[in-house]
Order: sequence, then structure tokens, then C-alpha cells
Amino acid sequence: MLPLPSIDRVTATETANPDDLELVRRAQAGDVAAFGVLVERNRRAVFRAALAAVGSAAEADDVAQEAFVTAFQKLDGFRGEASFKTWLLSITWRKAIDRRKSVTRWMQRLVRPMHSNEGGEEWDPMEQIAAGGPSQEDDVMTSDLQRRLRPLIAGLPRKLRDALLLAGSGDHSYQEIGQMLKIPVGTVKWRVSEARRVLKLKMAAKGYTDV
Amino acid sequence: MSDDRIDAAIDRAVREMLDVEPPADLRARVIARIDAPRAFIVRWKLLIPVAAAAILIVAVALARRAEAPVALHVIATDQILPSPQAGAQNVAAAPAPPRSVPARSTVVATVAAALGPETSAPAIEPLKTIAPIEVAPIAPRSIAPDPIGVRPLDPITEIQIAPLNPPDRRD
Repeated sequence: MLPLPSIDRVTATETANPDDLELVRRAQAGDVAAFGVLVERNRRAVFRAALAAVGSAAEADDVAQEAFVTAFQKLDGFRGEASFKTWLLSITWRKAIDRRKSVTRWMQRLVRPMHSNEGGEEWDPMEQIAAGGPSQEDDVMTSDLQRRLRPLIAGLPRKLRDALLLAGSGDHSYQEIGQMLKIPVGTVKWRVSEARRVLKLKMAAKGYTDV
Repeated sequence: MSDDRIDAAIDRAVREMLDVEPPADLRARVIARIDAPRAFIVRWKLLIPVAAAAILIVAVALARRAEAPVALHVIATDQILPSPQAGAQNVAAAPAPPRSVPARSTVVATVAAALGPETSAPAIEPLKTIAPIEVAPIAPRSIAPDPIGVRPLDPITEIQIAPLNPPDRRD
């Protein structure tokens, strides 16, 4: 199995796809089928960006759907300065943050009892993706270190966690992440490296680095 | 453990946390939601003239109902008010009254309602007997003022003044 590339070496370039621009023009003219093609091309990136923010696949699905519908309604506002994907991801991230801050979600978390893992640590819904992503069979096969890392990643401060997850998904460049989070590229890189540093400290504190 | 191994472990953990495929029907649901509001807007545009017509019909019906006349029964007033001759005997001694009670003719008028056979105008009870009001005539009074008498002044006594002595000359 080929080793996965380090996150620092991920340099997905943002090139404007001329096909996307043509599809956008047709969608702006009312061609819903053309917008459907754009949905198909970007649904994975949009869904994962939403998942990184809200931590739940069901909520990420709702957010992705809302983001696409909003993008269609605001297509006339797309000037083409950035790529359609970047523009779409900005809308997605905004929807995801609104969802994360929504009172309804906060009340649901109050009603739903906090779960605890084997170590007795409480985890928030973000940790659902940490624990529930792979199947049980895969979970057995993954290393003990990665299994222990997931709750630690979910427990990072939101700003660090968002940057780490978006960069680690492999779907976004640092520039795209900066535009989504509305921060400079340098801040994105700092947050990613700071997230790693905090994780290493936590791992050392728990003795996970002695493996 | 080396930092490279930890970094690699972090990278792998992050990828696996987000390694969730979106639902396959996401595109179909998005398209359905995009089409649904547009259909709603089209239906809404058709409903506007229908609603306007309904409001117009209701307004016309209400206006026609308001214009329908109501039945009136006016009872003869001879039987209520006395005739001028009978009323004059009751007036106090005075010159002819400045005005007399006008004669009232019998007036009976009935206006049928035009609301239809099912509806009938409500009956109006006759008014109670009203006693005439007797007013004494007003006699004008003269308003000539009383004469104003001015008493003549008393004569003034003449004042007698002695002549002055010429001054002594100095030679």
C-alpha cells in the first residue's frame, strides 16, 4: 500500500475549469441540468467540508443540500473572480457554521446525553465521525495510535480542528481553505501546524507516543 | 516515536475521519428542491388573479347588501299633537302668540323592503304622546335711559386785592 502524502505536501492547485464556467453560464440562464452536473462534480468536496464543520454525516448532508440550493439561487452573484468550487465551498462553510451555531443544534445536544468512551472521556458529536467512520472490521485493522488520535483531534479547539480537517481531507488547497475561513493563507498554515503541535503534546501526555 | 510517524498517523486519522461518501441521491434531492420553489412560484402567480376576483365578488355582494332599503312605518301625527286651535287656549294671557304650531297632515308611508320574500322589515313602535311646549310671548320693553340732570355750579366770589404802594425814591 502506497504511503499517503503528508498534509504539508498537499498543494492542490486552484485552476478554473473552463467546463465549469460553461456550466455556470448555462445554469445562470436557467439550465437546471447543467447545475446538476456541477453538483455531481463538487458534491464530495462540499459534503466533506460540511462534515469537517458539523461532525455528523446526517447534518453534513443537510448542509450540503442547503449549500447547493443557495448557490443556485445566488448564481447571478458569481462573477468568476475565483473558481466555482471555491465560491461554492465558501457558501458551504458559511452554512455549516450557521448550522453549528444554531440554537436547535445546541438544544439537541442538551437533550441528547453525552457519550463516553472506554476511558470515560466525554465526547461531542464531532467525535461521531472519529469513531463511526470506518466499519468495525476496518477499526480492528487500523493501528491503535490512529484509533486513539481521533478523539484527540475531535477535542481540538474549533479553529485548529477546522483548519486541520480541511487541509487533511485532500480536497482543498490552502488558498481555498483561506477563502472559506476568510483568513490569510499564512494563518491557515499556522493553524494546521499548531494543531499538530497540540496533538503531539496530548499524545505525549497520555503516553501514546511510546508505541 | 519519531515526528514523521506521528505526522503520518495524524494525516491518516484525519483522512479516515472524513472518509465518508455523500449520499448518492444528493444531486437528485438538490434538483428537486430547486424545481419545487419554481413550481410554487408559478402556482402562486395563478392564485393572485383568482384571489383578486374572489375579493371583488365579496366586495360587490357586501355593497349590494348595504344599499337595500329598510322598511319604514310613519304613523299619523294628528293623533299625537293637538291642533293649533286647541292648543291656543292653554297659552297664558298675552298677545297673539308669535308663532303657532304648524298643522300636520296625516302622513302614512310605507316603503317595502326589496330584500326578498324571506326577509321582512322590522316593525317600528309608535312614538309616545308628546305634550306641546307653551311659551309665553316676549313683550319688548323700552330701553330709553333716565335723563341725566347736571346741577349748576355755585357762583364764585370775586377776590379783592389791595393795590401795591409805589416804592420810596432815593434822591
